[in-house]
Amino acid sequence: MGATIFWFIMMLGDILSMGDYTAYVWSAYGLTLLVLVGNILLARRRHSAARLDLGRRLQAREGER
Amino acid sequence: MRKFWHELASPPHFYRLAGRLSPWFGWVAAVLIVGSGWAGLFWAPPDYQQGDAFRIIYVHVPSAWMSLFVYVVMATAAAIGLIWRIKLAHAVAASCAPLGASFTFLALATGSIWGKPMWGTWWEWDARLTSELILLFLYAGYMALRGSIDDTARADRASAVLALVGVVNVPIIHYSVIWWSSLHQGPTVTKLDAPSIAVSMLVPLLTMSFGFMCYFAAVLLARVRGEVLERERNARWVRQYSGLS
Repeated sequence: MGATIFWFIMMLGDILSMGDYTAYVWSAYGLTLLVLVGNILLARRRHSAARLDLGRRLQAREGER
Repeated sequence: MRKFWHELASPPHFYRLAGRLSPWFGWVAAVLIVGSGWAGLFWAPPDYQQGDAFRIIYVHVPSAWMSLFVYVVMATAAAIGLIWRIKLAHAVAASCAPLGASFTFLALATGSIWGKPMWGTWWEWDARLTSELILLFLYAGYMALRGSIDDTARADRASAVLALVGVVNVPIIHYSVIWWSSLHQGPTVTKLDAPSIAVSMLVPLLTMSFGFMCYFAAVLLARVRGEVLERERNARWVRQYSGLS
């Protein structure tokens, strides 16, 4: 089991290796992924918050009646 | 044609249309970005001078292009809102700003990560880098100005003027590498005669850029929906289209 995990990690390391620039390349791609996903989450949260606020307003208005 | 634009400017119509289009753009963007990312990382050959470090181009260049493109979209929307007093155009401009700022941040950050092994420094007060940093400040200023004014109509007008003034920075960024002696390399892809980049390197770059464009469309539409809902919260149509009736 241990040997399999070690072999898998070594293989993955070989695949992901970018020579002397591994840290630079992967940090640039990682940061990009983070920002792209973050933008999607923020847009969804904003829409949900607007809907929630609207729902509360409508409920309050119904309550007043 | 006139009817099409008239309908498009109507908040309920746009809200519904954006809700339909956004997921489509999102899926196309996901396929293109994942595919181009894979091709850029594993399929494109390493550069003969920069080795594998050149692969940062596939996230750096599309981000930089988008930082300028989003600004032009934002300024155009702001101008439409200012001239024809279309509220939806202001909502589009306001929704562009955080996206443009994030693309600009990505262009600067990935450029800095690329610059360290290639130039030996994270940052240089070079014409291209400095003008791109000014673009980030313009986006930040636009958002800060909007945030500082409570009245939406006044915030729309003031921020639109700032967006239009800032357009002058767009050609400065683009031509900075030609006008001034710059550490940043000159145009590679957009040269009018012929791009000085191999086809196997160019294809993932173009598809990634198109993926970023679709991503921008998807997230922008989603953002505008939230913005429209906030602005139109007292309108009757909102209950019906937001599914809260």
